[in-house]
Amino acid sequence: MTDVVSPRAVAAVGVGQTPFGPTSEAPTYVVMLQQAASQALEAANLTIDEIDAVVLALAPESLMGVNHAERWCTDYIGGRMKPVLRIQTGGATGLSAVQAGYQHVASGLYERVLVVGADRVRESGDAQKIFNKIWDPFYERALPFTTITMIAMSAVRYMHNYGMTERQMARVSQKAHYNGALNPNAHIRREVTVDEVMESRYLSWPLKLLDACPQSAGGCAVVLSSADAVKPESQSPAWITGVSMAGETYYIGDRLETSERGYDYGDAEALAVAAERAYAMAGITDPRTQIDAVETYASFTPVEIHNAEALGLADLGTAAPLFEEGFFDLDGEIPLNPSGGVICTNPISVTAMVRFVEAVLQVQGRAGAHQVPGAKTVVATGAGGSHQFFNVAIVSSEQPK
Amino acid sequence: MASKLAGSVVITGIAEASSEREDSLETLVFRGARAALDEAGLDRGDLDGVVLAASDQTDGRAITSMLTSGPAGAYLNDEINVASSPGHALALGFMQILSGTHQRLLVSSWGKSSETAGSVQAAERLSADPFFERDGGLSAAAAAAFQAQQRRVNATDGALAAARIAARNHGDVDEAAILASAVVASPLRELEVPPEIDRTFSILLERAGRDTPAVTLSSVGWCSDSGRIAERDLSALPHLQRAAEDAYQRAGVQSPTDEIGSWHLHDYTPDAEILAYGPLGICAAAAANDLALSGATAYGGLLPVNPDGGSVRGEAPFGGPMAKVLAAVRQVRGTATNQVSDLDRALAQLTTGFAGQFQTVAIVERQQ
Repeated sequence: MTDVVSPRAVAAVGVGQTPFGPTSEAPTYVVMLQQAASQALEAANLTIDEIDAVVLALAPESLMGVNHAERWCTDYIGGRMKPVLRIQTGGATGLSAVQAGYQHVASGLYERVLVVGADRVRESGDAQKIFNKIWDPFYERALPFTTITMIAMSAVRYMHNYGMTERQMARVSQKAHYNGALNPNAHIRREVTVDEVMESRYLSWPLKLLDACPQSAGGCAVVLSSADAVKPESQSPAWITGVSMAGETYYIGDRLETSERGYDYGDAEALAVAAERAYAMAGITDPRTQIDAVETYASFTPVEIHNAEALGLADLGTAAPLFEEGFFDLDGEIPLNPSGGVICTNPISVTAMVRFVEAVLQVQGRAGAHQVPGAKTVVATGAGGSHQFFNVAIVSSEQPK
Repeated sequence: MASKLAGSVVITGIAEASSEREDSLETLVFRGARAALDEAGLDRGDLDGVVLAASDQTDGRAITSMLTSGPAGAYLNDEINVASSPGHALALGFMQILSGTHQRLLVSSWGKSSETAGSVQAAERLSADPFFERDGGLSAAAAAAFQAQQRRVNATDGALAAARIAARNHGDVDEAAILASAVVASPLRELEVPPEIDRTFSILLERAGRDTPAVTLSSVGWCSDSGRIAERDLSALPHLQRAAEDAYQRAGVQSPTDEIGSWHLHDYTPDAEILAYGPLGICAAAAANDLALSGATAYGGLLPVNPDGGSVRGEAPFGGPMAKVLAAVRQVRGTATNQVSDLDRALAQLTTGFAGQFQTVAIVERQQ
């Protein structure tokens, strides 16, 4: 009989993020790493010498033009003579790295871990040309697939299945930009109206410019700690009560049929799988009443709509009208992306880590103008690859029993 | 000192698979994963996670785990890619079982040089610091040559010791032939450096307790040195010593040479193997060259190192170091080529990065 073991409690005790913006105005990659790490260490009231291990979040290295840049960067993240490892799961990398850091502490091997990353998305030119290379070279690369056309196809499928309109997508953008304007670290900080979104140019029908995320630069870091190692002077601990990840098939052509769960390419089935597991770990049985806010990785507006469903916040095919009604607004029933989300900030290697950091700020009550009053349980999600890798973390103000 | 970790994580399946010329990368990875599952008597649905060690540039892709996670068994399952080293992937898998979030997972690594755009060495060169080191032509081979040179100039008969280790691993090639083979990166000779091969490796980790034959993965330790090789003493590996100390402490090993019966060490060059003796506690660092010359590390010797011949006949790029874990497991199972007798415990060293920047030490032992 296999023993059942409960993970050791793990808390985020310090977070840091640089102000995000265009690469042309950003410091060098290693400076952003150091700025974010320094912020997180300061918040945790720790020095790098008090950190046992380091996890680097570094997504496609083609974006920065240095192969296995974790080798190059080890010195700049305090990793010399420490255990260091690097995580790469595409856009999901930032949250995968947090999950790897979580395992360091939950396993009992380490007490304090620094998770850090940064990105300068236009460092090697247009990211979409690089992302075209993620697809199968024979069948899908030549379509041409980019992360824009990939989601455009998904959105068309969702429109066909459930009747979503472009105006409903625009409402998601309006909400995101309203929230982002309140977030001092967001890359895009201006409100837009639904009509402005509708009038913005098409990137790939039905996606328009204001339905899409920017290409951002910036750094992000988290210090994770065991309960015993939390310093009294650190930020109030934000406890990780659930973690999970799930992957879809590689070939998008294989996702076009309806699955046993009733999902197809218009939905996010792997996110639903990851959420179910994370909820089970965190003891969440009714996400619509037990979750106070969500920071979900949605690089385009229709993704936020199907993510809400995959996370169990709405039935399949019913979320779009809820956005119109304000259900997911900052003052709505379940605020979705109170930070402005990926629509306002997308530094790819750490985009998913920013979701986690914003969830931490919410349960700590430190989110400022975009604070959700009384938030105690907040969900963070990541997504990477060809809308293929999804991860979920549950952050709580209460230590798990 | 008994370790609180001992016995928690077990290995119930291992597999390595070669690539036929016409095989795709997916086929190669699938073949290894399927074989490890078969050996453990399990199916993909029995897994609750997959940990990959995937190198994008080595595979010639921007996010190679997109392609390979499915063949490794991760469809609609937990998946993570530890892109820095196969040793680090093993370490994360170890932690996931220890923490209790996972009960059974597959760790998979591979190397398929035919997928690499240009060459493996060209991709490796892109790992070098772009401002100071890349234009100097730094590559894995060049860094290994620097390290070998630094060791040999400080040792009496340093080149002979290296040739003796290489001859030990070849088994059918003598020292004279090795010393007469072509120089590939001075002072390294062709018969001292493994050729690139295509291969995949899979290891099935479980929480102890299932009624099935298993080997205990009693510990993993890992540590990093600087990425600026000009600032390192390449003939000293303090980070390997730190990794080994962590591994010994976690496994409850107090006297490594008495308690470990078989050593499976990184041997991209024979010099790298010799340099590991000191940090691992096999002998004093100053005595390593003499130990190599003595023949004590041969199969049948007092301190058998790489009794299976190591990597000299071929090493898969990036994912290849996982072969050391499989070799150690075979020794503990008693199924190895050149089986060491009366063996309870074996050590595997997994190394990645220029001149061994990232070091991992894993200890496997007979299940109690």
